[in-house]
Amino acid sequence: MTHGENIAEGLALAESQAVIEVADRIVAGAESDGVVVHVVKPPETGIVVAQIREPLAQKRFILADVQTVQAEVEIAGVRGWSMRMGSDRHAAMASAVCEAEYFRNGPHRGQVQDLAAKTLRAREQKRAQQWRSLVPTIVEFEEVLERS
Amino acid sequence: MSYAGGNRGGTEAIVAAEALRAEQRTVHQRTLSVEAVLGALPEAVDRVMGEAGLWDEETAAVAFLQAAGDSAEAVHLLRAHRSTLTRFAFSEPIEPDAIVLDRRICSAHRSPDGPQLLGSTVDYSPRLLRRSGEPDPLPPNDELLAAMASAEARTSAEHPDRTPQRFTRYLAENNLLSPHSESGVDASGLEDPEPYDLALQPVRLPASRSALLSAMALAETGALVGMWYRSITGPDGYTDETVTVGEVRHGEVDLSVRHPHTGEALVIGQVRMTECEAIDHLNDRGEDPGKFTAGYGLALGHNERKAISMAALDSAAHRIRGTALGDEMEQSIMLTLDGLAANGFLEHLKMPHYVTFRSMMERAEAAQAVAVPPVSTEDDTREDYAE
Repeated sequence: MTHGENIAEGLALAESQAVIEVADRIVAGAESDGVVVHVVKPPETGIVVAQIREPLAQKRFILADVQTVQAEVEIAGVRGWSMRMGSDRHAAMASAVCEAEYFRNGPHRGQVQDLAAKTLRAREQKRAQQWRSLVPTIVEFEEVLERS
Repeated sequence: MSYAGGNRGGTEAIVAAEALRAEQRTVHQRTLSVEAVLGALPEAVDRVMGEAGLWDEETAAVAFLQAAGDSAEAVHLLRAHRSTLTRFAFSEPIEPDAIVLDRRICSAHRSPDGPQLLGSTVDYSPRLLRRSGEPDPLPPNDELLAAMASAEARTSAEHPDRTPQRFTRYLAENNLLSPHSESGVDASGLEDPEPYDLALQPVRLPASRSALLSAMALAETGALVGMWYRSITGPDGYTDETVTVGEVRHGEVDLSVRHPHTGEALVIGQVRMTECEAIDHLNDRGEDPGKFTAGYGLALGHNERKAISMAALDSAAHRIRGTALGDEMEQSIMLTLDGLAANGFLEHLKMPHYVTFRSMMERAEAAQAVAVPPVSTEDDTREDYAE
């Protein structure tokens, strides 16, 4: 995975409110600097077809559709795209703004990186916590000892 | 409906009936939030998503609420919504081995690779109804409390978080698993053929395994379980009851798509799913009794009944493929398991059939008019036939 994909992934998974806050700062900064923010594709809700490679014959089949929302923007001629699961159009737009800011090396690039990194770190921590709660449910069989 | 154009009137009654329903339910539904449904009834939401073929927990919870808990109605709402959505892309193929587990059971082996991870379950608990605020009818005794304390003391270091080897790999390593007949290149010479797309392609028989797996993943859970159980205890007898569950897993997998600008795959979120491998001994005539075969089941969300019955039926369909029974089974899987289709056909029976039934009555009356009186036989006089 490249650094860009890490960013896109972090933005796709980031909390809606957090990504909107960063995007609002980016747009406000762009406006005050006279930088053009252009909506290439307004947010649209649609589906991604989830295909599975089943493990017995290694062949693909379709499990279901997943509802997603995607958007695309351009800041100072640099495009940013986003796709998020669900139907939060505002957050999709915000993620696209953040990605464009990252790729154009805009003044808020660091905030975008921080948000993506924080999101991915939080995901790891959440899983570690979940695993700790699961460990007590692991079956440990008692051994029946034979008398010699 | 087909009679709508031919029948005038009734609109006021329909509007009044919908208003009455809304009046009866709206007050309660306002107090029951989507968040409450997701928190309290997750398995119902999962089932609706699986049978609708659309993953979106919040939308499914909205449908479940609007349908007043009628899962068939919720599936209908969600399918209708799904049909309005643009198809953006196919995901990268999801590899089930990448699942992040919160439950894993192997019934075939006491000590498989990786843990027997019960996760969150009531599988082993007595089913005692317990009203809110009532004390536990079976409180743990001292011995149980000590065991629970011991379990709580275990650490992640003793039990690292990893995806275990699936049980079919163990069988394969021990030369006990028959290679799947669909492995390698298919009849068209393709190693990795495109999956069958039920949303765009009509049902054709014989069906590919890809189509069968998709149809079962979308199936109404009760219909799928019923079909499996019929195959065990019903008149067909085309599978045997010696099927063993090699794996039941529930967990989360990443959903990845290609970034349109960079072309790289990136994760956009996670989907929960339930997976099952069912193991069958190849002990029928003409089979190799030195080997086992396996079937695969996968359901959206947490739905173990669906995944297990799907895996057992996949194995059965594979074993009897090409026989008369196999043809019947494929037809049943492809044409009878979809809940929306089955419930839709049933529900339509409530709609006006005045014209067709009037036609039947006229034919019955005409038949009576020309009928020759039946000759009385000894059987006709039996008590069974008496009015």
